[in-house]
Amino acid sequence: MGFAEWWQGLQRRLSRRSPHLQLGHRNLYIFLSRFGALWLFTAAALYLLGTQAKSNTSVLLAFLMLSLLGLSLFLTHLNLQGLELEVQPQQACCAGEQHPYWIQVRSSTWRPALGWQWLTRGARTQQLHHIEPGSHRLSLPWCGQRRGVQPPGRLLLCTTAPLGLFRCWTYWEPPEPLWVAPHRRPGPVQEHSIVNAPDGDLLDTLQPWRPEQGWQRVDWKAQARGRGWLSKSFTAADQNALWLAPTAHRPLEEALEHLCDRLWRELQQGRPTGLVLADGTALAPDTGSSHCQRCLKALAEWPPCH
Amino acid sequence: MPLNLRLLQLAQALLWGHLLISGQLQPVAALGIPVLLALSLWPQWVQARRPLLVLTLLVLAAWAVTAPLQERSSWLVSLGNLVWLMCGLKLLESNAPASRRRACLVLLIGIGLAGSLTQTLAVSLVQGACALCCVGSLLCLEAGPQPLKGLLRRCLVLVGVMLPVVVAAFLLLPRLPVLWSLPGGGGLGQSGLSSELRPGDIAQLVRQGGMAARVQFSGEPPPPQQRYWRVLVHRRFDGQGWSQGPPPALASNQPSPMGPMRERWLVEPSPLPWRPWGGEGLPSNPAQLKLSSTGGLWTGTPLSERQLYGVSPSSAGIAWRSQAPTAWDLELPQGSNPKLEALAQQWRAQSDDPAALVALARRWYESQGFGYSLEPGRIPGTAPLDAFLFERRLGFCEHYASSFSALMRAAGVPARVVVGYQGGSWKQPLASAPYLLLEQSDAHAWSEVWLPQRGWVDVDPTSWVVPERVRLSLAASLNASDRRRLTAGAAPGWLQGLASQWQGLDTRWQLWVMQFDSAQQRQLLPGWLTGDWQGVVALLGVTACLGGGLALMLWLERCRDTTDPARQALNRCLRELRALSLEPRPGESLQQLLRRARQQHPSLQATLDELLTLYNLHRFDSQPLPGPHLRGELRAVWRRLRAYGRRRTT
Repeated sequence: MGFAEWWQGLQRRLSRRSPHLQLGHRNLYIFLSRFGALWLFTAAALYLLGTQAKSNTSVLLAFLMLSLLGLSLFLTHLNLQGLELEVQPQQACCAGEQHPYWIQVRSSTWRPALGWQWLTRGARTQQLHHIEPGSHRLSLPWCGQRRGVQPPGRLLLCTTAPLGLFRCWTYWEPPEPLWVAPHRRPGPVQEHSIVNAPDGDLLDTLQPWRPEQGWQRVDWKAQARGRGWLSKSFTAADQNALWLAPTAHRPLEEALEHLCDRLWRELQQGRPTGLVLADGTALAPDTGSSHCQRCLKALAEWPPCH
Repeated sequence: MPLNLRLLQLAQALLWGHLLISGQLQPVAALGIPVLLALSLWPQWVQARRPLLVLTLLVLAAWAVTAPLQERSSWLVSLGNLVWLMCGLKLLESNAPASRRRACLVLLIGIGLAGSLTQTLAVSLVQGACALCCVGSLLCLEAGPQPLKGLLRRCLVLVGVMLPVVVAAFLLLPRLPVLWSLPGGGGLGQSGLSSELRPGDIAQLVRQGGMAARVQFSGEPPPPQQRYWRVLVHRRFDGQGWSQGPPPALASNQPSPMGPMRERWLVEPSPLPWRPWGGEGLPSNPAQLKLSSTGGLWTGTPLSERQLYGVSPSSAGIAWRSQAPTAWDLELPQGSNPKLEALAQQWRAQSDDPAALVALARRWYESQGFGYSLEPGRIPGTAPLDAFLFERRLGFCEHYASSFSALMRAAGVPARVVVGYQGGSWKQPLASAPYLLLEQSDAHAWSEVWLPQRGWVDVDPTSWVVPERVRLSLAASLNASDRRRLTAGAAPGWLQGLASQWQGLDTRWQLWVMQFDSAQQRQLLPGWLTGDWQGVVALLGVTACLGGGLALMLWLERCRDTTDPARQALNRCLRELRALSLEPRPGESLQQLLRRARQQHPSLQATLDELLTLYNLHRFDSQPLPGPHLRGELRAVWRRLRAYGRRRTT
């Protein structure tokens, strides 16, 4: 086993998977940074110089550097200790695009210079200027490379403040997954500008069913397919509405990428657009960000049997 | 330009400035560092032109060529110059946080090296400021852009809470023994007494000025007439000048000193391996200083840094005064000064008693109308003492000591010339115990003659000619023009008073901090602590101080009012209203509270209206009042509220 595998395994073992994480002694790790090691070496050299050249200035400077090193150990740890992290509901996104992963951060004190990094290949540590006392919603840019419902992976949260002599860090694995729709790539899609769905079903948007809506609104077909209790909401027929479906002349993933791109563009232009997938899953034409999210989620998790 | 880089530039500039003043910089560093600093002020230009490689090669080549030419500099000084130049180069290429951190480390090494070469209080303060700038720069690098005031506060808190840890470590931690001897700062101690004495040498030294030593006494200081501080004894006379002659024997089994230290000497760097002292007693630390058979304190090496040593009383008497003279003490080149020899023979014909010969000489000096001057003029190379004694009759102390010693030798009395200091000014600063300040202007030469019943006796022929030199001071013994020459460029009286107080602080700094070593550590700590337990106690002490410092820092952080200035000012006003039993009710707005206050205290209406207006202006105006202005206005409101509350109370 190489060092990289061993290191990844260690990171896996050290990371905590929970929707809420309060940083403390059990999940914070601290070690001398590279600069801290140089600092220690310089202090030792100055002490040696001071004792050999009988210079108390150098000895005092060495002691000051060592005492700052000792204090930094605690201050760097305290910079993360007590910080609370909590996952937030996430929005769907497209593969290959940066997208915010939302977390809630609660802090009782002002914390300078925090850094974070998704532990994926090629990722680099990003710096947050500081965290003010109170509760804040924090967006951490995340980029999915493939379609599907994906966990965001391990998050590294670290700090070297106040002097950069120690590096204190924690690993967190937020459990809230992200719906990653296909890459957006222009190409042919199958489109229908008709009121009825291509398979003859009624135009509807499926939403969670509530008893107040009555039994006649229940989408029994979806219920029979095991998709839970959904209700059909009927929309007024719009001659401008557009139904989109993946083209049959391309491989499935490529067809979905073209479909995603077209869907995105139409919805961005405010045109009511619906989605029809091969197993009969249909989302009635509509506009708005919530509709866009539903479409992207459908594209991300289709086929739903997975 | 980011603040962290500015702080590093400031640290580098301070380092350069104090090194230039203290004379530690070689020409390449003295010129190169400001040029590099100036270039670092234009980082865009540096990044665009990328002159770093060329500059590095240029600087290294210049240093390598010029460093060996500096004969007066030790290799440590040359190394220091290289490190200080490297600081400048590193600063020039510091455009990323990581390289700025490393530049900070190089600067700290540079400060440490500077500290090992110069150790006065002023220099230590400047070096402390440089180190503070480095810490501030690191804080700024981590926390990002922030106001200078806040950064300074954080920096001072961080260093301030760590000072007890530093002091504890300094006092308690066992010191590493000296494994190898490092040379001190070359260029220091180049002025002062020299190993040879030619006519005019001391007069020239006196005009140069500068501090020579400080001495504290355990009891009363000796009276002015007895303040003769011997350094070097000259036994060899070549007809013109004096030199040490054969090295004197050093006491191999020196008797142990008795009792507490009587004189505590702090001497400035000097090119001589001899140290000044009063001539009585024994060095407190025999391993540090050896007593020679001629009554000199010998250390073996020139002094490149300040040195602290003590002299304690001895039960064995003054052994060196009874050391019998040798042939060197009578050596006189025949015919070098024929008139002098003739005069001595004349005296010899009158008496062969050494004491009587000394008395004859005294009468002769007192009767010949000799003058005392800082600038007696050049005397000829042949028969110089004849020219002085019988033609010019104008000289300084070395002329009198030299001629008298030669006369005594010519009359058959063993004699030698002693060089050292005479007098000194008694200082009583507020910040330190009183001490006697010896300056180079107190440099003096006198004679010693061998009287068979009494041994070596001090004789100062200068005091026969100008008694004021010994009784009062050098300035009092000079004529008006010489006095003006001596005091030319001297600071005004009030500044001298300040300088004296500063010297007192510096003395305390030197005695308490800079000269603190293992021996003083052993004296300071109780006996049971200096054994095996010292390390454990030191560790516990340092840990306790570290814990205390951390707790203090966290407490200060919690106590810090992070609310904005307007809210702070409003809180102060609300406290005054509380004193008037006007507590804000749950859900009550400021306007409602102040309305209630107006109803209860109608005379406060104008004040309360102003408070509401000011606060609302700050909160909701698109262009709020600047912080200091607002604070001033709100403070005026608060003062009126407080005055009203006090009036009601009384």
